[in-house]
Amino acid sequence: MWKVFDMADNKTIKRKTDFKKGLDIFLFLLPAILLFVGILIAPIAVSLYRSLQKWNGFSPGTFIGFKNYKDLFTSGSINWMTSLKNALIIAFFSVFVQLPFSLLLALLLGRKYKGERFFLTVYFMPVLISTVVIGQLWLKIYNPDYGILNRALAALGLVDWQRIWVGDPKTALGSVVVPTIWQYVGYHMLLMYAGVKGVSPDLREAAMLDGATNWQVDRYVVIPVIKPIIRTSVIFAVTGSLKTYDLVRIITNAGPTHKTEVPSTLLEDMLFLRNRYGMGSTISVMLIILCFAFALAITAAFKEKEY
Amino acid sequence: MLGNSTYEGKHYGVPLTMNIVGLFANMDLLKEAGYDEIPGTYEDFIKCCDDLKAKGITPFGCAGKETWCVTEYLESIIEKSIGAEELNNVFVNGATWNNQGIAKAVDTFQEMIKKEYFDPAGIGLTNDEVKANFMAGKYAFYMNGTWNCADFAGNDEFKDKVKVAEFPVIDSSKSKLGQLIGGPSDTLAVAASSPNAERAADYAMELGKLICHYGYLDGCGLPAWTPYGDTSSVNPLTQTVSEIVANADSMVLFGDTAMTADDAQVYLSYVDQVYGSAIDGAGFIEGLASDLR
Amino acid sequence: MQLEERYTLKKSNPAVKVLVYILLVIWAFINIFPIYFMFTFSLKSNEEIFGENVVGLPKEWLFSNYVSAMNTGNMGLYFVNSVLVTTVSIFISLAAAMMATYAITRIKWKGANFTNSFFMLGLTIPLQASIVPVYVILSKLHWLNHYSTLIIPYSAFTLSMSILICTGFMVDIPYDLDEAARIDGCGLWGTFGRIIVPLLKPAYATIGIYAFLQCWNEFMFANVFISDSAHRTLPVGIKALSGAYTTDWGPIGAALVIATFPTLIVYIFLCRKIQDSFIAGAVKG
Repeated sequence: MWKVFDMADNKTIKRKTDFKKGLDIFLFLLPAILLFVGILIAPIAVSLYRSLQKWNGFSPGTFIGFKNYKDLFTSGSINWMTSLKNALIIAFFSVFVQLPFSLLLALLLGRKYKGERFFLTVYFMPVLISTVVIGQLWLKIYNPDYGILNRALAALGLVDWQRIWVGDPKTALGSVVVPTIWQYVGYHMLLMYAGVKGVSPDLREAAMLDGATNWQVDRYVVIPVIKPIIRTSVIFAVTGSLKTYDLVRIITNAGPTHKTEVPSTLLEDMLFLRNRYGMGSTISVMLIILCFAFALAITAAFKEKEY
Repeated sequence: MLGNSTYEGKHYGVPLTMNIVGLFANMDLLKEAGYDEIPGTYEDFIKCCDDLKAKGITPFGCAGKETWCVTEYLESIIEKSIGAEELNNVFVNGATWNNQGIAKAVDTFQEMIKKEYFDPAGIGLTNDEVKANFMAGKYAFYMNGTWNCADFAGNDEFKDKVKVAEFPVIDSSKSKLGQLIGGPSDTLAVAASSPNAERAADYAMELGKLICHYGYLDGCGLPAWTPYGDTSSVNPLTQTVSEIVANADSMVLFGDTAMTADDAQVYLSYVDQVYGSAIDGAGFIEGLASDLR
Repeated sequence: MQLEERYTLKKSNPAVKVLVYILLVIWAFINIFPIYFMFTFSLKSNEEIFGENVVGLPKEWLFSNYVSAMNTGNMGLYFVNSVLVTTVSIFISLAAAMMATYAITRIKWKGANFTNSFFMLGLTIPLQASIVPVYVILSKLHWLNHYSTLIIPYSAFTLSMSILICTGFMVDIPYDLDEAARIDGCGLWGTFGRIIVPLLKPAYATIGIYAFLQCWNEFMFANVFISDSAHRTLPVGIKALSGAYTTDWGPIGAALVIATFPTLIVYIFLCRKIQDSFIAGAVKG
């Protein structure tokens, strides 16, 4: 039933089908591209443009070149370096405390203990609860007078260890780090648990037949298999830490004296309290650059280890 | 009075309500220290704080987490030290912050912190928590806006224990009673580009007056417009405050409202450091002088 | 199943097992406590919340908090708005992701890999970066205070994750089916509609959950872009319960319970299905 073509027809038809194929591809991609470019990419370009201006959000802005960037690092009333340092500290604890714990839970639950489903469900719950609740809860724990923490310390006779947790510059950041890390343990745990479950039983069986204990199986068989998931978790953990906002706002309000400032609270202050939209755009641009840089670095770090 | 709704000589908004900083006191606790009235002079006031401390009562509660709460205390102290006009010049009229009077007032404030007149836990508390503590009888005094009158008067257990007064004069050569912190800050404005702008503006004017009137009757604000009709239902706290306002001759608007947004944030960050005892009076004025003017 | 039994029972020290259980139970308690806390403070008064009775059951059960949250707080309307915005966003995100993933994975063309990486960049962009530019554009277009004002950005935010998930599930659909459809005369669109879309069903639940998590509790955009209360969503409505100077926290707790309990109920009942989907989705990631 095939028609006979001559060379000229072939080329025309190929061009036509190529064109149609190109058109189809374009149409399939269109909604996604429109949304993506319109809401995520174009605003980055606008942010870049606005970051070079002094702008109060209403009147036309005045071009000031890189002054915003310079002010960011040198101005006394803009705590950029502090906020960056705090975000990185949170990221550090997130990657080196939260993720190992999530991994541990994922591995433990992957061993089919009783109540696996129950624990899995419960551990994910903090992720679903609004940060307002979590913030308020931890405020009650940290309260110097009736808070559970100070009361417990007193009961144990450790009155010297009592502090004004959210007000003391030495402990304020820690008071934010703990709930931040605690809330998302379940999120990363579930991601890793998925990977753990995906490890083929044959592999495990083989290792156990070779005499491996549970822990050795985990270390030499399971973890290498779920490396891609761990890498994704690390990227999410770091970029998420750079974007921390809710808990800082609620627990310490970036205090005392801006010591627990993070980039997101700084951004909000610039935009809504100080009407400095140019500076706000500058912070946005810096955040984007940082997130990209870390994502690339983490991907590269994980690639090296896969020989 | 209309300073906050005026720009370059033109009025741009209608004030809705008005509030000042009031010194609220828990009379039960003061009685325990041997005082039947809120002390009227500064010397008596300090002595009262010492007596309260001797009885194990914390004189003040102030929420460090919300810096505006600190300004409720600090600005009153500054005003009663250097006088309303000087303070207003610094806030609004472009006078320099390099003012020894202000430095001295800040040091006075920090003296009080050092003498532990303030609840040390306050630096980590929100205003809601401090206010709840005050109503639970933890602090003798609470210096905050008069919008609180409604809540205090509406609480059956607490309303008979609380009274309000003006902060005493610290330096009577420069300041006197009748100089207050506060004024109309909330305003209602209409965008000129909106349809029927003139009708909307007329409506906003009447709405402003009514909000003011009923706010006053409910005790959550003071009349920015002259009250009319029967106002005897207003709670006793608000009535006391109205009398204070009626006898006042100058008002300085709250610092963070009077200044531009950017300047206000810089100012607040320095106030923060003062409450945290990170800088002293000299550091305060130097920093603000170089950052602002 | 003999195999699985063998690898868990063999060589597991009973003492270690007990310790592990203790750890798991303690952690479970720590995770359930916030829910108990939320329920109890939604029924208390400010006095109890802030000092008298922080942890215990309410001395006075103030169901009036729920009444005031629903009436003055208007939580019912905000709940409906949140549901509307979230579900439509999920739907749009899903549709756009399926189409885009189909183009990237099933059609052979030169830019496919690059386009995929391009979309993956979206996973690292912080949302706050777009808020000012998008706001300026939307306000110039007089497009604020509509449902679509939030739906469009939300769809965009969840797009990268949706494409990532779809890519994973797409791999499971055998290419033979595509071939068969092609031979039967279906074009690209036909194949897409008749084969791919029905077979991507496992992806719907996974994308639904991730997208739901992102949209339901989203605050910043909802706060800035919607200023009238008719279109307001839950997180903003809850924040609006905080007064300018003072706050009644009981009704806020009630509002939070109203906002959270559907999530929890849905989560508990669909727990099995969700976990399976989540697991399937993540493995593909």
